[in-house]
Amino acid sequence: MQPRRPLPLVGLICFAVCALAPALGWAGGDPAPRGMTTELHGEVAGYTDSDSVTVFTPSVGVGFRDTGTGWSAGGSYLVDVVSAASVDIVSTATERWTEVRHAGALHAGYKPYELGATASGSVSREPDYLSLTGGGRFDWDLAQKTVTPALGYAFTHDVAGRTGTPFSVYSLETDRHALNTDLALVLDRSTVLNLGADLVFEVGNQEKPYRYVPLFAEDVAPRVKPGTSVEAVNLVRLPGRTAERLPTTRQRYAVSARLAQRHAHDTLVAKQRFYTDSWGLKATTSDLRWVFDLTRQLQLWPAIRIHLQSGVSFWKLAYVGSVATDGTLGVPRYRTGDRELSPLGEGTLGGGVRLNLGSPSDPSAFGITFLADGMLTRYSNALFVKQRLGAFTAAQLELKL
Amino acid sequence: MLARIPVAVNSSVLRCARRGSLALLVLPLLSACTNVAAYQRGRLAHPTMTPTFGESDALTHVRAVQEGAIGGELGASSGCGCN
Repeated sequence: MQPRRPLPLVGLICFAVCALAPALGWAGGDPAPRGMTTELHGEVAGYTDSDSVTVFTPSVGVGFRDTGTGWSAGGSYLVDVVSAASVDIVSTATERWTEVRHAGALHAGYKPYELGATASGSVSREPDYLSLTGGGRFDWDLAQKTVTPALGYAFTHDVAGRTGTPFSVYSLETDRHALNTDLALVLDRSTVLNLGADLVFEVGNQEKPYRYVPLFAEDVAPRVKPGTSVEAVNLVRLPGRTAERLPTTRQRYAVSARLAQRHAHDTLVAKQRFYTDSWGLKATTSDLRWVFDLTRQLQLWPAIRIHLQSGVSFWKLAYVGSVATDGTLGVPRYRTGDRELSPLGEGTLGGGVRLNLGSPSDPSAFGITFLADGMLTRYSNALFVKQRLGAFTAAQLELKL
Repeated sequence: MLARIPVAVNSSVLRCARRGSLALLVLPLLSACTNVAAYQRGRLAHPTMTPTFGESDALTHVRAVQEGAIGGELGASSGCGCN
């Protein structure tokens, strides 16, 4: 919405050079001890959909691991360039905007024997949004590494504002406490089962500062149908703009399972997640991927994902407002136009291909991966759109030294 | 007082039942784990078995924005029995 600052390319290049220097032997000092491995990762991803949203995301990452001492460390950096003229933006008489998000993350871990600990932190910054996260995680290999329980905690502080307005003048803040557990079980020589649970507690104002909710007279609201266009809504809604309003606390719970099984020439990975929260949203997400080894250097996989969710308890297709005799507008206590909180179903069909270009002894040490997914989202009870078609593609480069 | 006794009994029974259910759920899973020797872990160590294989942070972010549910990022630690 405002002129954007140019990308900090200098910082990006410095980060990449600093990250690559040890791997390429440019750093001074003693050579890396035996057992030290360096992993480099780069990705260029793109997303576009029928709601006029495009996202371009280049990212780089590096990881170091010393298997001799048990130390590991790493970092990543990505840039999201989002361009949007979605129906929500159009409905508030705003033109297409472009926004850039920068996100960086660091982690360090120590696992000399069976018990390991990892600390991590990340920053995500947009002109009108700042998110800071810090956390830790413990994992413990039991029964000769066939049973590994893990426990993690992360704290996130989010600040949302308006572009061009300092946070000190206007901001909405949210704190998030996330606790997660994970139990990895080796079932046999070729099968791993992961069971997990996530508990997330959020406190704060989660409204989007730019989001306004149309209100309707009591006799008009029942006649509003799902998918009603912006123009039709503007004809029948009450005058004025009403800001979104959400409850200030949210408790979120998820349980999930992942089963991975390796056969002679293929790998099957199935994932399932069940989710519920204190806002009344319930969801189920199923994932299936089947990786085939076409040759030792080439792998190909189809993937399917289905996500179904109910809406939050206060979700309404058409919120009812009332105009008092003095002209003031009576509004519902909670109201939102966020389709993420509405009943929806999403199907994803896609897959990927990976070229392993490493040495014959370790072909996957150098690999290039291409991903492509097509998504269809159906909204059963939302204004403006009934469905959205999306496409995601990514090219990844991985190098292990 | 008379009314409270059955309640106490019921809650105690319920507690035992819950613990029993949890044990019934977890114990078979733990006992299902077999002792796989290091030289038998080739398949477990295959790159396609890792949680990050075929995943993209960018796609995860897109989904986090467009869906109301979160969580389920399993296998962040080693836990694959492969190293």
